[in-house]
Amino acid sequence: MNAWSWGVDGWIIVIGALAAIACAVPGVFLVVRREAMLADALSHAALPGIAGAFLMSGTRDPLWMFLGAVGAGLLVAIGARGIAALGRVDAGAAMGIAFTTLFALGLVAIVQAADRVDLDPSCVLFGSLELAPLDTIDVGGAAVPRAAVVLACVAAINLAVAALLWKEFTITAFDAPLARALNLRPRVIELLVLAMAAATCVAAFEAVGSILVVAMIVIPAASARLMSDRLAGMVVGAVVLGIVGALAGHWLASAAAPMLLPSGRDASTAGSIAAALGGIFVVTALFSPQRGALRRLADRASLARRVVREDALGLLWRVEEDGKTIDTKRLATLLVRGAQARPRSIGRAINRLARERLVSIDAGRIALTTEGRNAGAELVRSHRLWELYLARRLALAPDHVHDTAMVLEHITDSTMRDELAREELADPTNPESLKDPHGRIVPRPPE
Amino acid sequence: MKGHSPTSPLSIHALTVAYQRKRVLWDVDLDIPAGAIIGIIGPNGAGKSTLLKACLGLVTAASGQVSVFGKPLSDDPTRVGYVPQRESVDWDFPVTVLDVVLMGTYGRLGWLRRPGRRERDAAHAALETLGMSAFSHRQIGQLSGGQQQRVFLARALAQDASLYLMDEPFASVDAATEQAILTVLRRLRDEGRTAVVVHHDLESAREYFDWVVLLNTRVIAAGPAQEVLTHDRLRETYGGRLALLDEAAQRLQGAQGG
Repeated sequence: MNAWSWGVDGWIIVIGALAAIACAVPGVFLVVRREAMLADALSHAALPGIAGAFLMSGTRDPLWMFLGAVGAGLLVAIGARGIAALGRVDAGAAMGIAFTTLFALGLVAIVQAADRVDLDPSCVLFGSLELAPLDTIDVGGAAVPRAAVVLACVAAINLAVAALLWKEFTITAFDAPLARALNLRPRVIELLVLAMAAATCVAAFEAVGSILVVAMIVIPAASARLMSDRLAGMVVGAVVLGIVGALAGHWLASAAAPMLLPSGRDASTAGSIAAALGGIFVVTALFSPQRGALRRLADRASLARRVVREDALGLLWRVEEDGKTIDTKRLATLLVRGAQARPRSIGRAINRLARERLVSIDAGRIALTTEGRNAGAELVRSHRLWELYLARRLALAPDHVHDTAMVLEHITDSTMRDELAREELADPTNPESLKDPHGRIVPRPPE
Repeated sequence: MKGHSPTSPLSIHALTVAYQRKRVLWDVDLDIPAGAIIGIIGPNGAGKSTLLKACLGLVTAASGQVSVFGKPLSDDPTRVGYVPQRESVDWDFPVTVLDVVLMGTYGRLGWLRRPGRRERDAAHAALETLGMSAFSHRQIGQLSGGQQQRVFLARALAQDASLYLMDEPFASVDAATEQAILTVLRRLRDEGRTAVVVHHDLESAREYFDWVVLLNTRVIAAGPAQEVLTHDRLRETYGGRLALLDEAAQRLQGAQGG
């Protein structure tokens, strides 16, 4: 590992972070419109754009390169719509056709041009973040890397435009026809977002390359969506995650990779940032408190445990209904057979029911307490009301309704139960009149 | 427009809309009365939604004119409130119920201005009317279908329009939402506003609407609900498909590769 240097490492991180901030706004709006693919198209179009601008202008003036790249990006995005209509293919395929064709043309042109000037294809693909701090310009007497200045400007413009036109951006992304009916010109706004994304791609791609800029635009925004249900929250999240990605990526490239890789050399910083961003996405997808996979797993497991407990209460209630008693072993056997529960989870469920004083266990015999009896009655009531409903409304055969009712009974609250009862009760004055399709009386709600 | 009422909330003159040469609406001529609940009724593919979209300029008409209170819509687009079909937007979009309802005020606000106190009050009042206040900070994807429909309606109310165009607001909603929508429609009428509602259920049409337009590419009949909803006219709307004409259109498409 090389010694830390503010002049190099510091600037690499600042440039990476500025790229992430610049990418946040267009990234969020592309992701919520489900048009993340556009980022890919825009960044690929930059290459032929630059080559075209060079061949036409004959100079390597950055302004020409920039305009050429942004122009080509817009051309691809708009041209893809034309291709979709012409070839009757879907938007994704049209985009793929448009940008790969242009990209290939750009590669050919660059190789041709490379004889005369130093346009390096691999530099275009992967960027040169490590070298970016060396290419400085004078800002008020200080030597600042050009990439930092460009990206800071783009980030500031993106954030300012989004702040100014937040309302227009939001309504266009959510409901373009309404925006149009209200005279808010969604097509102009869409073009503006596109231009913003294209300009950001081009500005960022010089530092991180045309392939990795896609990661910068898409991944922080997609990860932020997992953590926030608000657009503004997504922009903040994308900025923060992007900066974290820049820090983690630099650490990966300069500290972790030399230790892990057999060559012992530093890894590409841009590549490491993209890898770090990928890692960040996996972490948010797993651990996000609202939408993470672990949260969903935990919810599902807790539901499964509740289902076993409720099935046990329902079963005990039915045993009592027949005037019988039961021991815990027999109850477990019946639950395994009827509810496909695992023996271990049944043991835990019975313990918890006993702890919550819903059942009492005496010398192996298990019985409902008063509270448990009420809970069991509610469950059986839900079950039989659903059986009735399914048999009558869906005209299902009586022997086909039990399994569905077994599922529905666990998600039925008292409001739903009352509504079911209102619909199914033939004679409200005589609750005994309510019988399920198997002739069993539907228990009345506990007093 | 000649022969059309300058006071009608919505006048449509000789409107024809075609998708790839197939006529979806054909020579539609209508004067919608003010202060009424108007149903547009017809079978699937009759052009009901297209009629609303053409009135709003969201689809391009092959010919014809639309005027709102005697003027082109572009003179003041905020006078018309649009309630699109629920499926037309992505309900996973990261906005809250309040955010969506506030969008109703965006037209009046115009470019660059942000919603302020007045707009928020209007949005909260609209949510209150539809019994959705408790949900104002929920993400819209966490609502039931009926609740989502009520959010769309609240958004239109927040716009404070004079004419409302609603696309199938009653489609697959629960009983409570159906009642809430009816209450809103009647309140709008009592305030002298006009609501044009696309609807496909014949049974409820007589109960919901004061005035009915029977549509199947052409206008079959238009007038007070009791007069229009007759057996013969309904058969003409739903049963009498112009089979020969359809076939001709198909051949035309095939021949021209259109």
